Amino acid sequence: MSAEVEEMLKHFHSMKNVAGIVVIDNDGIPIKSTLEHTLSVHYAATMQTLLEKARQVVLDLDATNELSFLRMRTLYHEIMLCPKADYFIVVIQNPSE
Amino acid sequence: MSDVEATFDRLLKLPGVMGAILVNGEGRPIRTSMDATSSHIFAEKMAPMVKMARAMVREVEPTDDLTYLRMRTLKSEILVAAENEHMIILVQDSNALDEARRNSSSSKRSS
Repeated sequence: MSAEVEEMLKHFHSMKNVAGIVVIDNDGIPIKSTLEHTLSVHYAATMQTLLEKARQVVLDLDATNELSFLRMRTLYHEIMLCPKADYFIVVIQNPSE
Repeated sequence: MSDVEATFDRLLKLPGVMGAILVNGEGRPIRTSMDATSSHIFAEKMAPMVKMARAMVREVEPTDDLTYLRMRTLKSEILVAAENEHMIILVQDSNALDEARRNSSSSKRSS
């Protein structure tokens, strides 16, 4: 699992304007992060709640469907949530425009 | 109001659009290209989703705010744009979207 995670981190690092990457396990604990600890924990808690909600909404709309990715654009950032089986990844980007 | 209508009509022309819904501040669909039942269901499901996403964004950074949310599923992509009280929900077929994105990126590369 950690080899896969490392691969993915390398891939995301090569993307432009990445402000932070947090890998969070199913217990809501940030297992790898490029941000400092308090902020990582903050992202872990909030994004996990949001991800669960999103998963539920997708299932409610169509029980045969599944959430594969979540992307949010905010005033300052672009936040991407990528759910995997045992963990999920949060990538925070600063839009270049 | 005609501005909103024009935007709405433009949305319907996007690739793979399965439905577009304009929802007012009370959670009621005021313009929609889907049937009434589906529109209500989508409006009902997306409103708390947007509320939570907005709250989470503000929690991490109090001065930040959500502009839009895009949920990708196996079958479709749901885009929810929220401004003030209104909400636009756009549902697009995943395959059609991917195709359109592939085409636009390859044409950018060749030019």
